[in-house]
Parts: sequence; structure tokens; C-alpha cells
Amino acid sequence: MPLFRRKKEKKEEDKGEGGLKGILYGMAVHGSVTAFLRTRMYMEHLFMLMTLGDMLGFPIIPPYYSLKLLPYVVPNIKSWKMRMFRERDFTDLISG
Amino acid sequence: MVGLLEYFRRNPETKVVIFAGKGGLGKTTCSAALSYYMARVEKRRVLCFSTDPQASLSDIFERDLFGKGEVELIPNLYVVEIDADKRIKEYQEEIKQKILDMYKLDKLPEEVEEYIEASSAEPAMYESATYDAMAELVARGDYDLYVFDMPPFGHGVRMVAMAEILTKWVEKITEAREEARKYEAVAATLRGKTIQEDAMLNELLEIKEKMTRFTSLLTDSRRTAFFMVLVPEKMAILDTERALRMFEELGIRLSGIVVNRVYPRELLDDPATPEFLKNQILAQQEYLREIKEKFGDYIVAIIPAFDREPKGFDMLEKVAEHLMESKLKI
Amino acid sequence: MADILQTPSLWVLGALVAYGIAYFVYSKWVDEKIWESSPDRPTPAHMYMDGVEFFPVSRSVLYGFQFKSVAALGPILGPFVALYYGWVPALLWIVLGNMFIGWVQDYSTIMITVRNEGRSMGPLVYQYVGERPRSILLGYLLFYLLIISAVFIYLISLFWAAFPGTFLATLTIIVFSVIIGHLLYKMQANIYAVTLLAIFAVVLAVFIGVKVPGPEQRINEALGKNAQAFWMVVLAVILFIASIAPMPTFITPMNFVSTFPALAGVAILIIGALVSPAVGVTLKQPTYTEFWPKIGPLFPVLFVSIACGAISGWHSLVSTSTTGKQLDVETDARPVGAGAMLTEGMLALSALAAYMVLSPEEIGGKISSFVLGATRLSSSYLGGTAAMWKAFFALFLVIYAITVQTLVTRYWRVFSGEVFTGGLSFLGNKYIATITGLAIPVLFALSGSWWNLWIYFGGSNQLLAGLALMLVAIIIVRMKKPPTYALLPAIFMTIVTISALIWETYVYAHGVWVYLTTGDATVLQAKPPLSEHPKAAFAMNTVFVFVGIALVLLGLMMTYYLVEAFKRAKQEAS
Repeated sequence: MPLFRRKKEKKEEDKGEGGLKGILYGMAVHGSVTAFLRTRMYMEHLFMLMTLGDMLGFPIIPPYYSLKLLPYVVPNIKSWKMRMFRERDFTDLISG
Repeated sequence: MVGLLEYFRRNPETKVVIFAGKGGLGKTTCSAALSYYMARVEKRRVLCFSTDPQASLSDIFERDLFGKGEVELIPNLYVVEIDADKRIKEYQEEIKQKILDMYKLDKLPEEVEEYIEASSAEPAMYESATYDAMAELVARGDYDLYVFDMPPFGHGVRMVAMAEILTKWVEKITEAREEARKYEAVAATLRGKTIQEDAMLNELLEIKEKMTRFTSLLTDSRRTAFFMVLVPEKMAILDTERALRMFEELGIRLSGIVVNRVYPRELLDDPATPEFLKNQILAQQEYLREIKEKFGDYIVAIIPAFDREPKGFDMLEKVAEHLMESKLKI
Repeated sequence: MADILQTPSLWVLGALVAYGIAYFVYSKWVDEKIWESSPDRPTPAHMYMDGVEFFPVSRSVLYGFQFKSVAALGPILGPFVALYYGWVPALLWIVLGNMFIGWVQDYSTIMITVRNEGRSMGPLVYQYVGERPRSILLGYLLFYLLIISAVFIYLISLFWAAFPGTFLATLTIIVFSVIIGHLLYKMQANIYAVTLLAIFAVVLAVFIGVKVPGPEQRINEALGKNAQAFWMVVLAVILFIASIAPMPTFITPMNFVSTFPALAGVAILIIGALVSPAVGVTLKQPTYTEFWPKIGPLFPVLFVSIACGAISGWHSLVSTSTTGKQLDVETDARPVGAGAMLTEGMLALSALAAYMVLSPEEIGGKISSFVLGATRLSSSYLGGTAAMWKAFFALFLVIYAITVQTLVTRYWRVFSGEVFTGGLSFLGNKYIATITGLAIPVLFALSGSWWNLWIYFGGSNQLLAGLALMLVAIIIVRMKKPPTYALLPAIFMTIVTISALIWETYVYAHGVWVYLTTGDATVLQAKPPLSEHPKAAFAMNTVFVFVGIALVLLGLMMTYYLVEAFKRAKQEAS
């Protein structure tokens, strides 16, 4: 688990996001950032399902090329599986 | 009925020749004979590629080629007999190593390991691996002519159908990936950041490029020739009819049919011919009529039955003679 | 001293002190004693960090986000309705409501998400109350979105009709937003340069609003009483495009541009109210009028009239859907949840102050009089022409409403896509969903009885708050802690809102009944031009009766399930 925690990235984010600048950023764009990232998340679900669907028991395509892509998605597999099995409805979509 | 030489004269751009059809009818023999002829007589750089796990190419050339990579037999004639199982194993190891290196791990995460292991149990893995090997060889472009002896299952045509599915799949996931990336880029801009280059997207685009090029090559009738091999027997005729329908569905033009193992009709007049053979010849004549009726225009060559197994260069030369410039008539 | 009491200054100051107490004493106590929040307990943002849905965000950013997400027209226009009872009841509700209910909900709903693996409202209800209640909640939310849309569409079109020049000003903002969107996302332009351009766009918009009222005036004159209906259609077209277009091209840059006037407006008003004694702006509203003016009895109407300034259910959706998933440490929940909510109370206060300095004649039953009061407050100490401030505050109102409305229309579309399946799946189609999500509210809005709708809106919104608080109480009981601080507000809000919804349903039903029995159409809730067509007005009122009944029934069912779940929790805890 700690393997894939991007701790360094988090610290970078903290910098420059405090104080007034952070508040302004939060008001002006954070909601949109959240919305975009969630859209991205749904697209990634689609992508992962198409590439590694058989991991969840949905055989999509012979896995030859999936294997080729596998190294790049290794860090995402855990969170992807978790999100796929997470109870979810449209109240999850509200981002301000 | 003019022979393959005439075909090459009319289609000078031909780069790939594929022999399809049921197993045991002489596909490998035809592939080997054609390759041999083109390399020796026409002086072209030829690669003969077999996907047959029974190592029949090794048998014909009387040399162990299985899983040995590209082997030059005579000047200009190269032969590959792929060991798909071995290739898959190596491929899996390569992927595992890549993950270990990429994330500096000592051990793979369990689910990843399991996934990789389970993938070799997939029957379709075999086809994909073969197909990828073919695409890679063609993409390298080292040869003037590629002769593919297709695996017996699915008439060897299924591979092409799968190629199209795979191409579509790669297109779809590339699209999903690019779309996701667009949103990520927008989010990054808003956060005053830039996103890193997406190594996976590059890999995907590479796969896509390779596959699209190969698939479009295979479906281009000017550059790719598909030949079916059959023998004058009931089952073979039925199978060929089925295969023709498959070709049609896939939108592939069949370039021609080679009729193999035909007994010379003259044997009927020879009193030395044993009775049971005469009966067989008569039956063949019946089927040949049917073949002519059903596939008339497709027939490009007729190869006689030989008194011994077609092995070694001498025999291949004999086969090639008939294959390239057919003299026999039905 | 008597003089200073005749200005909004001390009252606003007093309210700020009360909010200070709420934040530094009460919320601190709840945070430490009930939730025992700890900076060491990992939050879902860390536990499930995936960089797309779960990731820790600094508390300043979340505070800004939460405030912007919860601040809309509610706190600005709500005080107008409440003023029918005089300014003292309105002020008391804004102060006490927020102190004991408002921040309690916003803060606690963040905490329930943080303590429950980052679950949103729907999944939380599913987990703690059950499958059916969750479905009811989702159905309820669809109704709720339609009603918000009806109210906002009505108000935006009203402002455009009432303040010629504002439409062109809004259009200027929209055009610049699209350009800015392009600069930001297609050309990855520098964010500071773009900010300058956004501020320029606002200045230009105000300038156009002042200088070019002509074309809109002529449209209004030519259309007469149909003018507002015309603006509704124009608005529906804009909203349609906004909902269909990719977010980065329209909604996001518009949110971005609108942040600046929205913030400036609030700051100007609060300062204006505080300095009012110095510049001689005085209170002209009655302190208290009567218990039962024409808009209905003080109980329960007052408590649903000022929505977001005192308490609002929408916030619980934002808290559970986004904030709770991104909270860095548990101890951030208080500055983010309670802090943003109390700030929003200040927004309501500033709006109330803007109305307080107008005489009843100046208000004249017109909600647009907010612009007049705001102009008075700001020009008194900042100078500038009345025309300029008028144009600015009219734009301010429209911008607050339209940015929220674009999102609401979009949510309706996305929700429809999820809810309508099987035989009804055509309703989830991108275009059809957007059209229904606009056509129904426009139809509602055309009835012209906006404050009846406002009570439906306030009622359903506050009821959602009551339900969210009840859910909080259930979770606290399951944690084996005393739930009173959430339970009492939950009970209060549920009773008040269901009463208000029943009252408003009765108002519509009464009109329908009188019309049916006597043929007297004047009791129907409708304004011109609809009121001139009694049959149409009757039909609309009948529809509203059913909407009211639906809201009351869904609310009662939810309450029933929540109470049952609470009892179960109580039994199992003891």
C-alpha cells in the first residue's frame, strides 16, 4: 500500500495552496478541477475495463496486448478495483 | 489455370502470400515450395513463416527450425517456425521484469502476478502471440515477400477477423485514454501544473500503428494474396465452401485455390494400375468435376499426387513446378 | 447611540459576534467532545487516495470551494421574503438558525463521510437506513432539482426584464467566459493573465450594462407583459447549450469569471453595512410586522424563506460528495464546514442589510429592490453613480443564479441518465434529459407565482437538511455518542419544513378548490400573463398541488424510515 502513495506530490500541492491564494483557487476552480478529475475517473474505468476486464471477470479481448499495457496501470489496479466495487449513485457526482 | 507465376505477373505489388485451409491438405508444402521458388528462381528475399505447432516446416526442410528464429536455408530463403508457447513465456517474463524495474520492486503484487500467469491459459493468447510476431516481422520490412502458412484452426482466416477486432479494440482504448488525458490536462492547467508524458499512450499508439498497418496490408488485395489449398475429397470441398463464405463476410478477396494431390488421369489407362487405385481416381474425377463447377475461376494451380512425401529441396522443386506454372488440367 | 441602532451597523456586528461564538466555542466543543476529531486518524483522502476522486486538499482550498459551492441566491433573496415579518425575525433566524443548525449540518455531514470510507449521501442512506429510503431520496432529489430550476429560471428572467442592460452584461460575461475557456484549456494560457482578462470582462460588462440598456428596453416595451416569458426562453437556450457543451468550454470558465464579482459584491455589502452609521444610511424597515401577513404564517414560512443563509440541505450533498472525500485531516472539517457556512451567514446578513435600508414603499413587493438597497449601501461610502452600482448588482444577482443553474441543469441531465433505465431510458438521453430539465421548470416558472415556488424550494431544501441531520444523529448513536446537538435541529427542521410544504400545498389546493366551486380565478396563484387564462392557471395550480403532495409524501416516508433507523440504532447501541 505505501508503495503507491504519492506522498511527494501531495506536499507539492500543499505549497502555494494555503492562505488567500488557496481560498481564491478553491472558489474559482477547485469545483471544476474535481469535476474534470471525476470525468477522467469514469473514462479510466472504461479504459481499465476494456484492458483488464478479465481481472474482474469480464473477458473482453485476448489479453496479449493487455499485458503490454499492464506495467503502466499497475499502480491504478488497486484503486480501480476498489472504486468498481464501491457503492455509488448520483449523489457522488456533485462537485459544487 | 495458369499457376502462381502468372498471378505474380499480374499483381507485381504482392508482398504477402497466405495459405489457408484445413490441416493436412498441403498448405505447408505449398508455402515451402513457393518460398523456395521465389528465392531461388526469382532471386527475391523471402521469409517463410509457419505457425504450425507440429513443426511441419522443419519436417519439409529436414532441419530443426522450431523456435529458432529466422534461419537462412539457401541464399535469400529465410524460414521461421514460431514456438508460440515459448514466445508467450518470454513475453510474460519480459512484462514481469518491466513492472519490477518500473516500480523498483522485489516482488510483483500478487494480483498482478496471478493475472499474468492466468493469461497463458487463454487459448486466444496463442493466436495473438502468433499474430503479433507476424505483424512485427512485416513491420520490420526486411523481406521482399512474406509467405505465411496459417494455423489449421478456423481456416487460418479467423486470425484476420481477430486482427480487425483487435484493431478496433486498440482504437477504442486509445480514444478512451486520450479523452481521459484531455480532462487531466484541463485539470492540471487549472492547478497551474503540466501533466507528464503518458508513456502508456505512446505504447498504445505504437501498437495501434503496427496493427493498423498490418491489418490494412492484409486486407489490401493488391499487396496480399490469399490462397486456399484443397484436395479432391468431399470434406475438403465442403470446408472450402465454408471458408469462401467466411472470406466474403470478412470482405477479403480470395486470390485463388490450389488443388493438391491429384492423381494423373492417365493412370486409368495404365494396365499396371491396381484396381483400388483406379477406383480412387474415378472418385477423384467426380470430385474434380464438382470442384470445377463450384470454384472454377478460382483454381490457379493443380498439383499432382507424388509417389513419396514432399520433403527436401528436390521434391519442393517438383511441387513448385506445378504450383508456379500449372500444366495439369481437370 | 440611538442613532447607531437606527443603522444596520450594530446589528450586523452583533451577528458577527454571535457567529464568532458559534465557531470558536460551540463548534469547537462539538468537534472535540462528540467527534473527537484527531489529526492522526487517516482520512479517506489518504486511505483511498487515487488522485481522481480521493486526494487530500489543503483546507484553504476546501474552504473556498465549500463556500463557493454553497453560496447562491438563497441567502441573497431569502431575506426579502422574510422581511414580510419585519427585519428582527429575519435577523434572528439568520443568526440563531446558523448558530445552532446551519454549520452543524455542513460540518457534521463532512464528518460522517470522513468516518465512513468517503461515502456520499446516497450510499450512506443505503448503509444506515436501507435500500428503499435511498431510492426515495434519489426521487426526492430529482423533484428538488426541478424546483430549484423553476425558481432560478424565474428570477434570472425577472432580473433581465427588470434591469435593461443586464442581459447584454450577462452576455458579455458569457462571451468572455467562452474565450477564457479557450485560452485556458486549448492554449494553456497563464492563469494570472487570464484572471486579469476576467476582471476586465466584469468591468466591461458593467459598463455595457450602464450604457446600452436601449435594445432590451425596446424588447420589453414591444412584448409588454410577455417580456419575462421571452427572457425565460432565451435563458433556456443558454442553459441548454451550457449543459450540452463540454464543461471546460462553458460552465467552468463562467464559474471562474463570476467568482470575482460575486466576492466583490459580498465584501462591498458587508463593509457598507458596518460603516453605515458614518455615512448616514439608516434602517427604514419595520422591526416587526405581524404573525400572519399575506404570504403566510411566520411559523413555518419564515424558516423556509431564508434558505442557504441559515441552513440548507444542498450543502450536505456537497459535503458528502466532494469535501469529505478530499479532507486532508479530520481537524480541517471545522474550518471548512463550519467556517464556510458561517461565512455564508454573513452573505445573508449583507443581503438583509441591503433590504433593511429600504423603506417598505421602496421595496414595494419587488424582489429586485435588493439592487436598490445594495446600491444605496455601496454608493454611500464608495461613491460612484447609482446607475453603475445598479448595473453591477443586477449583474451580481444574475451571475449568482446562472452559475448555479447551469450546474443544476447539468446535474439533472446526468442524474436522469442514471435514474431512467429500461423502458424509460429515452428520458436519460443527453438531449431529451436536458430539454425536460428545462421545459418543466420553465413551465413552472411561467405560472409566475415565484414565492409560492420559493416556499416549495425552501421547504424541500430545508427538509433535505433535516433528513441529513437525522442521518448524522443515527451515525452518532452508532458511534455511542450523545446525538442531541444534531437530533434537536433535525426534529425542528423536519417539523418546520413538512408544515411549510403542507401549508403551501394547501394554498394551491385552496385556490383550485375555490376556482372549481365558484369559478373565481383570483384566488389561483398566478401572475400575468398566465392569470389572464384561468384554465391554464387552474391547470398549473393543480400540477403544483400534486408536486406539493409528492414532496410531502416523499418527505414523510423518508422521515419514517429515518426514525425507524434511529430507533434501531438506539436499541443496538444500548
